[in-house]
Amino acid sequence: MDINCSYPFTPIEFKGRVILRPLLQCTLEYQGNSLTTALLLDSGADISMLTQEVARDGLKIDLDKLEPAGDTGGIGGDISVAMVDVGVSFAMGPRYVHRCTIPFQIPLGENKGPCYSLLGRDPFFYEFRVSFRMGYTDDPRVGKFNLHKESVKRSADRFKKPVTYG
Amino acid sequence: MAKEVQGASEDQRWLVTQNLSRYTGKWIAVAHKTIVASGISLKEVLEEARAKGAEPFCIQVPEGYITA
Repeated sequence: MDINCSYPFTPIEFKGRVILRPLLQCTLEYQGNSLTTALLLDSGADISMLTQEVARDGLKIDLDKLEPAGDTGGIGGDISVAMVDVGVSFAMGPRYVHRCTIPFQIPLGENKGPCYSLLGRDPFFYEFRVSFRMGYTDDPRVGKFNLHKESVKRSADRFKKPVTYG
Repeated sequence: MAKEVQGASEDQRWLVTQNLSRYTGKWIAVAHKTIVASGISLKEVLEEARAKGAEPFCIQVPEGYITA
């Protein structure tokens, strides 16, 4: 199904300048608990992350029982995280709700993590063509971001393959 | 090329047109284009909204800063 949806940016004013943030209203589900909240579409994040408050108080995840899955690095330094699969659904217009399961990092210990829960690139950007159209109008407060479902997967045969390493 | 449609819910489209400055730093719960609860923690806001019979859209109104 070919779907292209637009969403309003959330404008925030800071020191006289308008900051537009791409916040997507999502319903998160984990083991029978659900929360509808806003996730920041973060093209700079490799994978997704929930804040401790959303995980603990919104989805009733017992943070003390989570096993560390490794460290993740960001602008605030390295933090220890657990990984949890969470159901995510969001509206794409009045008649269609997209549902998927996304692995989220959850910061452990005293690390608070980011100020927003984040939707990172993997797997979200494999499923959607994401475009940020902040300059869509002549008013810096009025832009939009679009999610266009990648409905056709091209064959990779005719492309040179990049070398993965790590 | 798919025709573009508005993806966001009515609550989200309504929310971005509101002046939320009095809620800066707080969580708010939105249902049916109304702020039904607000507070410092997500837990208290969810409890208050659900006590009123709403299954709300909860969002933290950010304080003024720029993220990296």
